[in-house]
Amino acid sequence: MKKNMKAILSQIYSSLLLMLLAGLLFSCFSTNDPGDEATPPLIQPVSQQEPISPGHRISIPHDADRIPLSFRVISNTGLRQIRIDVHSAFDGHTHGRTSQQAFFVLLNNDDRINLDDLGNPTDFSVSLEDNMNVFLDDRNPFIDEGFLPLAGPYHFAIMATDINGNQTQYRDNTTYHTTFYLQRPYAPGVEIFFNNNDGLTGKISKTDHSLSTDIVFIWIKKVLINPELPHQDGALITEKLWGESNWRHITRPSVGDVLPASFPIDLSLLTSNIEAFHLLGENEVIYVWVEDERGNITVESIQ
Amino acid sequence: MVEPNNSISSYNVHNKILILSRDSLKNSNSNSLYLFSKNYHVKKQQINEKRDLDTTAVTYKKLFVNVNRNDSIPGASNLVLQPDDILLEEIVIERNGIIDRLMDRSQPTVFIDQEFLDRFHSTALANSLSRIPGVQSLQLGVGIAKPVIRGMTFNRIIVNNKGIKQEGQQWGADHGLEIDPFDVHEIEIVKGPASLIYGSDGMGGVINLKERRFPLRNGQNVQLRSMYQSNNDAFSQSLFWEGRENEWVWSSRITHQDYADYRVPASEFNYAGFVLPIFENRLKNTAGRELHASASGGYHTQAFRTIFNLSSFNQTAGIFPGAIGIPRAYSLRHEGRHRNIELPRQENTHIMVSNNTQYTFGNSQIELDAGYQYNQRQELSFPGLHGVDPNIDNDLALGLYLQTKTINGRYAWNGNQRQLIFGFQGQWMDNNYDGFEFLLPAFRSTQLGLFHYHVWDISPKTILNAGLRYDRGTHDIQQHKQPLFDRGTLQPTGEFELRNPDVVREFQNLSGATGISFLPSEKTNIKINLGNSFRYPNAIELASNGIHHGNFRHELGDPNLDIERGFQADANFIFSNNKFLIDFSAFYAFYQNYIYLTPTGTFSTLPSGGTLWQYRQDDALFAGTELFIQYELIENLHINISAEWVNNINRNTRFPLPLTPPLNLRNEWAYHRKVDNKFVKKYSLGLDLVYFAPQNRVDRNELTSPEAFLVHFNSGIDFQAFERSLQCIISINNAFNVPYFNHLSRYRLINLPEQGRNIMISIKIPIFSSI
Repeated sequence: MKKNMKAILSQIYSSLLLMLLAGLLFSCFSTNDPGDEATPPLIQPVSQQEPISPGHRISIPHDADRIPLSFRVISNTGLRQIRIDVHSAFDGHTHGRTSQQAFFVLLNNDDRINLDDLGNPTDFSVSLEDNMNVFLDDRNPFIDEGFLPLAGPYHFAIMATDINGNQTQYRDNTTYHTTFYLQRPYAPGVEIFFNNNDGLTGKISKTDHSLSTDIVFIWIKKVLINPELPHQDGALITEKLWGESNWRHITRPSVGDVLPASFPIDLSLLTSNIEAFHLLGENEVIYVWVEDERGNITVESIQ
Repeated sequence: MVEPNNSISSYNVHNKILILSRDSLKNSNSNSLYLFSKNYHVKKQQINEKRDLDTTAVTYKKLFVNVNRNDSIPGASNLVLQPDDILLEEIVIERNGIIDRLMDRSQPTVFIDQEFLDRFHSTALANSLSRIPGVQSLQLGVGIAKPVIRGMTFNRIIVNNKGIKQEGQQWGADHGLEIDPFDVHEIEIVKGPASLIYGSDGMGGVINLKERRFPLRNGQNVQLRSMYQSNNDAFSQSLFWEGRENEWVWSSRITHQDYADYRVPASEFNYAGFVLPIFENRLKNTAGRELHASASGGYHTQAFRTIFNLSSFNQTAGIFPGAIGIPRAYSLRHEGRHRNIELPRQENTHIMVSNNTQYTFGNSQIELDAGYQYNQRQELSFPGLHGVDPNIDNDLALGLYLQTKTINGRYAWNGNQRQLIFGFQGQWMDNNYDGFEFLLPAFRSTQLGLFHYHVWDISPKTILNAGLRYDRGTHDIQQHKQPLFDRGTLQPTGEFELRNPDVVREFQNLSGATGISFLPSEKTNIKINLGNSFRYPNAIELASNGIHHGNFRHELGDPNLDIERGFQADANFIFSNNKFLIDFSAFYAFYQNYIYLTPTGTFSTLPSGGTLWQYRQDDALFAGTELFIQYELIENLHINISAEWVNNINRNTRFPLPLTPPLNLRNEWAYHRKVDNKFVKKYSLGLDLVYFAPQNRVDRNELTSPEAFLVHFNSGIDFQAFERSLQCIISINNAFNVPYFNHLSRYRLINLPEQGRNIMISIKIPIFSSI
């Protein structure tokens, strides 16, 4: 009886083992062809003559009331959503903190183009002729009437998803992203020059605009950039700070040396003892970041 | 107390432990024999009650023989000593706990001893285990890793720490096991479904961290273990004290670890079209500090044993800035210091108090495990500009605080050919949170499980087991309202957004498993197991609604998720003789309502939210194999070959599931020798060749990973100095400093290569011993 049972159980379990191995060999683990199914949307210029707008590291002039947009998004399987995002880069991408600023707001944009608005879901484009913009006044839903956008560096991104959930991403650069500098007449006035004899010179001051306020912070940094990647921030060589910033930043303290009491500030006086600002080698860039009391930032660079 | 003696008649049972010296077993009435090989690979052989041991095969350092009956140390009178044929230092026959005896019946199980852990020590325990076929580690940082068993991790595997299920995995992917890697002495890894004994979450397997074996004789030991690792200039010290005074036993440990930014074999990496520098080949802000302490103590008699445990784990570890935001060149530069821990960082604390009590009477045995755990995880970073109070004055982004109370009980009746076990498990959890970000709401959860297990020795060579389990669980999740802030002025609007409503869920589940262990010949063991596992959806899957910065996405729970169930078949084949061992396992599993995160295809409405991903569930298939071969080429020289392969598919999307480990192959050459020398007692040398195949089977939006080939060296020496027996271990990991990606690493997301060459030097110094 016991032997029979053992034999039966042996047979049962041997069979199960064989079935298991057979299942492993012939199991249906074949996946979909990942080709089109897994390819994220592609963001590219509308044409060779019309690059993506805004371009990398451009400055938006003092008098501009909008940032024109131009781009094309292609998807083999069909687009689901396109997002055009603008947010401040005042804090080095940690999105640190700010404080209440009378009259001023941070510039934002959060346009979403949904499937229903796409027309052709596999190929959507916006050219300069289409007059699609990021507005810099109260036509922008994030700027109430009577408010003005704070001047300074902003991050801009175009992102897209398709109907399968594939998405453009920062990590593989399929999301288009850059930094632009919003210049405003009420932001600090900065003029910089460089020559081999005097090094960095220039003038920092309030402007004549009625909303211009006193300078509270100056940050000068020299970086080494990769010429093949001009949109990249570059590696820091040296930096120097004066005053106290409105914006907590990831890479630098918020407080530096005492600012000169008199305005306009002569840059050569600030940098005369800093040798690094008297030399400018190949692929080196000096950035001058100046803030006023209300948090407006002007960034000028020289190469 | 036992005094080792060559005469079997002199053995004495003390606290259920029997020591025999310089002997082999002629005949044992035990069911399981575990062989811990000299080269630190672990293998196992299950033998029959009446089976003779092949003594010529015994080239192993230590034997643990499970005793499966209460009424005696079975077969002890038949143990025959053959002192000259074997190299055994000692044989320990121990009556293990009820669970230990159950799990080995029909499932692939691996045992790891202290020497293995010493030799392959890592800053994180999960990394040490990744040498075992079927086990890998999910890298979350330098000292932070989660174990992966057969492609499953997080809440799909259980870490059972001295009888209590270790909690903290429900908070997602950003933190590792909160266990002092020095305070682990013996580990049992059960591969495959383990819900029958362990309840919810035991889908992929169990890592069972055993209680320490206390000294068998009266006296005390004090021991220091110091370690240096070159890659991140890590200094570790662990001071250990243990003792025994008649029936009273105790041990305690304090561990300190301090490590700097770690090095990678690359000077730059590519991210988002940027070529970003890695200054001095070191990743900024990956330094960390840890301080852990633990103590155990209790009372042992032959029939009664109660041990109290207290442990405290404290870790502060930096997070590479790019891992939670877009890395920029200027945020990656060191400021001349490699040991400073800046923002972002995580601060983790885990405190556990537990008791394990065992009482034996007649043919019966009762066990009770009770524990209280407190997990505190704080993630600190710059307050976000978007959606965060501008007046916030601290850096606490996420604070998660979990209290867990656990009680487990088992009763075993041991008959002549049958063993009946009845057990229960109860758990109560209370989670709270703070911080300026929101991810997981406050919740309370309860779980209660009742199970019965039946073991039937059908014949001397066949053991059948089967069990049934009923579970009931609840989640009571509180709603969360997040204050809204104007995106332009950043000032509070006075309005609130309901991130998640109140969620109350109840679950019930009936599960079962059966298996057989069969010995067709003296050298062969076949195990087959059919198991049904389950997992309650956890609170984060039901109700999370926030941004996961590490993955650049907004993760959204689904309060309507159902229980996830698995139906798995396992087969395990072991053959061994005196020179050769093969251990092959295969599994095939169908998962019903497998829960996973998937992109919705739309963007988050939260500022900086990226795309919106939501938890959903579909059926999935898993299959895989593990192979371990050991061959003694010449005396003392072993060749080990191991391989593991996992395959899976989401049956709805027809895509693989994310974070599936790639096929990997390992070839180890290990030479071990004992010498009769005044100074040197034994030494070992090892060469380890590891190949990771490319992983191209990836889920949507997941990166593929290229192949990698790594070479490791290790060596060890036991020697006499200063009238002490010291142990020194030197190993070189990634000896050729090869840049490679770990498909399971968090840093894979940002194209960062793994750790470069790491030279580890460890020394174990006995400071005092009166045993």
